[in-house]
Amino acid sequence: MSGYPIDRIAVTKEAGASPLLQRAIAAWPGAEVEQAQAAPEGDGLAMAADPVAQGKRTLVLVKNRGRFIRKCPGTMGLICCNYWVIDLVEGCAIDCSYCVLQGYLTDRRIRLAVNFDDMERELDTELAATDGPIRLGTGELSDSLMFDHELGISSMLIAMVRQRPRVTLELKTKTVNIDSILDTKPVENVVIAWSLNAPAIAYGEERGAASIEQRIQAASRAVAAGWKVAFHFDPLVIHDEWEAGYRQTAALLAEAVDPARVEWISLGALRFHPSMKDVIRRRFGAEGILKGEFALCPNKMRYAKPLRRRLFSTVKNALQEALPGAPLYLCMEGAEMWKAVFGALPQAMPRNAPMKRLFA
Amino acid sequence: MNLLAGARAMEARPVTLADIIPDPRFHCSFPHDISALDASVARRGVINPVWLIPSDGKYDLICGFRRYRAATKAAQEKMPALILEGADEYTLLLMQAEENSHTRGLNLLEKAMLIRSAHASFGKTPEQVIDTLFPAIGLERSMVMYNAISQVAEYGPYTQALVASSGMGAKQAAVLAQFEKEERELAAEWITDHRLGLNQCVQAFEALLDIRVNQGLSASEVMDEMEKAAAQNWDATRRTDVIFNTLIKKSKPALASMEYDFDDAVAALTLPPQVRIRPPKNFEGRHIELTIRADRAESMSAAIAALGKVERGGLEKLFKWI
Repeated sequence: MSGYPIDRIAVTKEAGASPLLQRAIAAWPGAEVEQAQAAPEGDGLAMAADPVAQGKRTLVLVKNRGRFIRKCPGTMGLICCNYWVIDLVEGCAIDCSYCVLQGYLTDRRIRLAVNFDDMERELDTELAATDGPIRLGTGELSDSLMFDHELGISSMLIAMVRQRPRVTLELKTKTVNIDSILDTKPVENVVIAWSLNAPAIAYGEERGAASIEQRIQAASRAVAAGWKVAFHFDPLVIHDEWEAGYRQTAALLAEAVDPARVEWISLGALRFHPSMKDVIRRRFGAEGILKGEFALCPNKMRYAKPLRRRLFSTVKNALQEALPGAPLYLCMEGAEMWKAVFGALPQAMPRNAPMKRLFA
Repeated sequence: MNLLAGARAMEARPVTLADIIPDPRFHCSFPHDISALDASVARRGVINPVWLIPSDGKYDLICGFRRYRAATKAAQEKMPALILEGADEYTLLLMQAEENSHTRGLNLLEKAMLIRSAHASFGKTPEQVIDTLFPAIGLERSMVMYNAISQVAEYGPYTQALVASSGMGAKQAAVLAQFEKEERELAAEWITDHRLGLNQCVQAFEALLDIRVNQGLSASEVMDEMEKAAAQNWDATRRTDVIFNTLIKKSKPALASMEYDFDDAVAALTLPPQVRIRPPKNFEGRHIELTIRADRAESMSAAIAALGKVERGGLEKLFKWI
């Protein structure tokens, strides 16, 4: 078991017949099971002193009536990595201080869509309409593996993409819940990815996540078992002795992971909608993640450009030394930052073929 | 809600002002700027009756505090009143809150004072306040909102006055909670003295907080430093502009440094004053803006000619961060 507590399991009538309901009841036998209310207020979260934290303890099983799969919209003027997102689970059991979901989702509960068949059909429709490869993942609005030991969602997703080689599935996590995955034979078009950070950030700002050492050990186990891996240094955070912190994580990676098995590593600096500031201050205080010089650009708060440049360059250098040849890219940055950090745009990197593929 | 708040009787008649005692439990008019009402009452008297409840041979005022003050100021002997007997007092609080909310709107401090009164004077729990008072004053049911607003009632007088007069909303006022009481009061007094508008007011608090968090300086230290940045003999508007801009720059040293560099590079081009060159906001963006502001063809022609003489190397310095 992963250890993330669930006090309530709410289910809509349409989702009641899903085998996921029985798995959830078995995984959290102490949880109250009830019919889901349409609005989150129906679950009393409005009266909670911390609705974000409270919402993480309720799992809602629903039928998704909207789209499952969408292209990450990116931001105008910034270089896009052509990622696709599966909105299968919305909400996360891990409580990171910087998490965008604190302000992004109106429903604070963890919502799991059970109509996998519809998702599969939608994926085929997208494949039919798209010539190139599709790199997609479930880690945009949730942690891909947080409930994997309980609900086994990854095995259903892996089964879905196994017969669709044009799709690369990324399962992105801050947990070490990979036992179910490692029980199966590696699949060529599946990548297990870990969000990494400096140890101090993981320890202080990522409540409920595995430590950096644990995550890297899990990655090492995945590589040993023949799986491809990826890493996301996102969000990079400027904090006391941050250079040493990121070098330490890079050094741990160097000891544990063969660079040839690393599909990609992304770097993204801390960014958040201005309205998130109050939520973060209220829930985590003003002295932590919000320490630093931020500027509005264009609709998100980011570190001022010279600070980001130094941050990216330092971490890039550490990772290139630790994992030579592993493809690196920047998330949500413009051409000038790419040139400043890498000396070129992704398409113009001759020895970085995987990046060419991602950014084509 | 029962219109009469369960009152056994309701009577409308003029009441002598001397017989009316304001009941602080129902007071929710902050600040007391009622100059427009003063003039109206002095001219025509009070038109809409205030609400009273009988109390030991006199009357407690529960709705109409501003009208009462205006009538008192105009030395009027009587004012029209609606006298409610046997009404539920908490329901009356809700009714007058709703009445004020709809007729003139309540500022954040007034909402905070109503919450405090419902809690402290009427013994209501936070959940009861949220269920009953919040809908009456147009707030969504939320414990987060309850906590955010109710703390405004505990702030000092300068901070409260600033919240009320600037029209701060709950989200804008959230930054105030990050200051210790004394520091918050000093900052509020300083910001009030400089007559900053709402947005500048919030930005100033944000800047003071950022400087404390990132540079370890207290608000007092920063305010002293800012006061020295502007000469005492400057007019108030100029002093405020300089102080505010210096404060914002101090809170963002990396950006300020880029701006100084950029301004130096522009100055080195020795362009005429009608030419203005600006970087993208916060240096995020791909374009530099060049503007010629001219009221005559000669002036524009001179600007264009000057631009034509600028060397490429000088321009390239402007694009260092773009």
